[in-house]
Amino acid sequence: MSYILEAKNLNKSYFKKKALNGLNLSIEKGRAVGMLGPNGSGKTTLIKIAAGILRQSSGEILIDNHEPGVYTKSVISYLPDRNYLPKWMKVEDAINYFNDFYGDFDRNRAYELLDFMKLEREMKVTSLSKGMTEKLHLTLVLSRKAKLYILDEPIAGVDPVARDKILDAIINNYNEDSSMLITTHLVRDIERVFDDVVFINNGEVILSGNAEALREEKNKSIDELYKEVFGE
Amino acid sequence: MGRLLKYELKGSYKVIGIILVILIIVALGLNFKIGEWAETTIMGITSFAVFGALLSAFIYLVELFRKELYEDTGYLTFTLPITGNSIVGAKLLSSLIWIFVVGTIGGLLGLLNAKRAFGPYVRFGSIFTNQSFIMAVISGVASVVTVLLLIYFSITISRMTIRNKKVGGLWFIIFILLNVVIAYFRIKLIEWMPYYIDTNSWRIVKQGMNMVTDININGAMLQLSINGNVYLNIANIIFSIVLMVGLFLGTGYLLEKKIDL
Amino acid sequence: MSIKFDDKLPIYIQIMNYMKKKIITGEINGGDKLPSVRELSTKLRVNPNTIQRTYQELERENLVFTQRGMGTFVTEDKQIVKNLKKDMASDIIESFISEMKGLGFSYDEIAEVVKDRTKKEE
Repeated sequence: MSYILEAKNLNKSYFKKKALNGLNLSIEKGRAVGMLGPNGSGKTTLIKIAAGILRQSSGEILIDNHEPGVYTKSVISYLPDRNYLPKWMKVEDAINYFNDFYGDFDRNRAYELLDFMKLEREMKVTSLSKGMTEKLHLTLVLSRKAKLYILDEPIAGVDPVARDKILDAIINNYNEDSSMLITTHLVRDIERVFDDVVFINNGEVILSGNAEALREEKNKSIDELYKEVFGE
Repeated sequence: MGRLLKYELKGSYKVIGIILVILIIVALGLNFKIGEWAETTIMGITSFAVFGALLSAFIYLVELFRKELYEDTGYLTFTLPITGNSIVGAKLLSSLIWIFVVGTIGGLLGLLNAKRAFGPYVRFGSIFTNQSFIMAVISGVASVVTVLLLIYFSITISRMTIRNKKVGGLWFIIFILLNVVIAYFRIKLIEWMPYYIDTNSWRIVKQGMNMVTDININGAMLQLSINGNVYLNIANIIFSIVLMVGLFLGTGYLLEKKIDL
Repeated sequence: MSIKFDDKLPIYIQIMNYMKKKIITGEINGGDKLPSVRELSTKLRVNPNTIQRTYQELERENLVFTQRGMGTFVTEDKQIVKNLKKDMASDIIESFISEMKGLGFSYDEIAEVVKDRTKKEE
């Protein structure tokens, strides 16, 4: 079994808190995995470590059998929960930027997605609403033919119309050679996209499994299961 | 690194442009006042303006580096499949380019005003081939590079230790401390290894400090002048080069392997 | 094509039931080509693997068959469709009867009620 991502006993401590507590996670090729948990549960911490912008305190993480570094950054397409585009850029600039730095970037696909998302190339990045910004970020990320797509809260804070477009784009992006790791706390709208789900809290995995199997076994939707696991 | 350099320049040319436009307007404005106002006033304000422009540019460029580590655009830059050295190289080179541009334009404007203000008293044809001018330029460039790298290094170290960006002034303290340590080390080094290159004969000599008429420590080169002869300390030159390379690679390594955003 | 999902049930089962209804009522005819996995997953906003599984299960029940390179087609065997109709009906009937019994109706009373009700509809 080849895993695109393998985290073994991952720990991350800060001065005051332990963000990851012996976390184990394996993602196979071709799977869409939902990482579900409340704010502060460790989802973003794990993702940042996988993306290579955070270092674990201890434990091992491998992406395509490599430690995080220049290679893993070239096979991971990461959508952070931030406005990470420089303010001077227009949409066209962002496309060119990605095209320049990522060999797996498909310019034509990017233009198609821009049309689909109804974004214009001349728009300034600073003039975009939250929904449009999210759609632009997603366009950039999904236009790469990466091995692992990591989407951190792709639909949070986004209006329902934009949210549907985003989900459509994510589903359309699905292919058997890539995997997707999507974090969210808005489970209801997105649970049908997942093959597998992982429930995480306090830096460790509480529950994981195939989404459909869990529905059958627990006789609940994943959203209801989420409420049950994380409810008061 | 060339690709990143392109985008660094694209992201900063507007502000640099504004600085230059202001500088040009002030300098040319002063140029028209020659004859009305005193020459010393003209030259004084011109110098001040050039200095101001260089300082503004410098502060802006340093701030750009700091922002990369503390604000959201770091999520873009540090997830690119490039080495930490590429990042440092691109930042350094783009800063040097702008400093050179502002410095050159500022210098030309200064000379322009000087020529008009002082007229026949100013001659500068021969300056550019003068040996000490060339050494001053090399030494100046090395100093600027060293200072920039030292600042980058300090900012990076500061980012690694304190997560809270409100304590953003820490890098400056680290910078000052490092400067002190380096200066101290330099002095100890030349005491320990008093071997110099005589720039007239280009031979290596050993020198005591007793006949020295003029000492020039400007960061990179340590020059002694004895009766007009300029001597350069070898150990210090080697140290300066090692320091620049060390800071460059050190910062690159930290950015690639140790940064926590 | 739109389905109101009740996520308590596995999605693939819900889609299967939806498809079965369409086949029984004749909305989808024997021999018709079903949407491709990709098309359907996009339309319903569901993971393609789920659609894949749906089609696989339908094929297992002999309701559809896949021709490599061509797509997935509904069976032309009318008997299978008739049996499906009966099966789906019997599930409904079973649960109807057990619920009525739960309310206290006897079998005769149930038959009466059904006769009256359906007479009205004629």
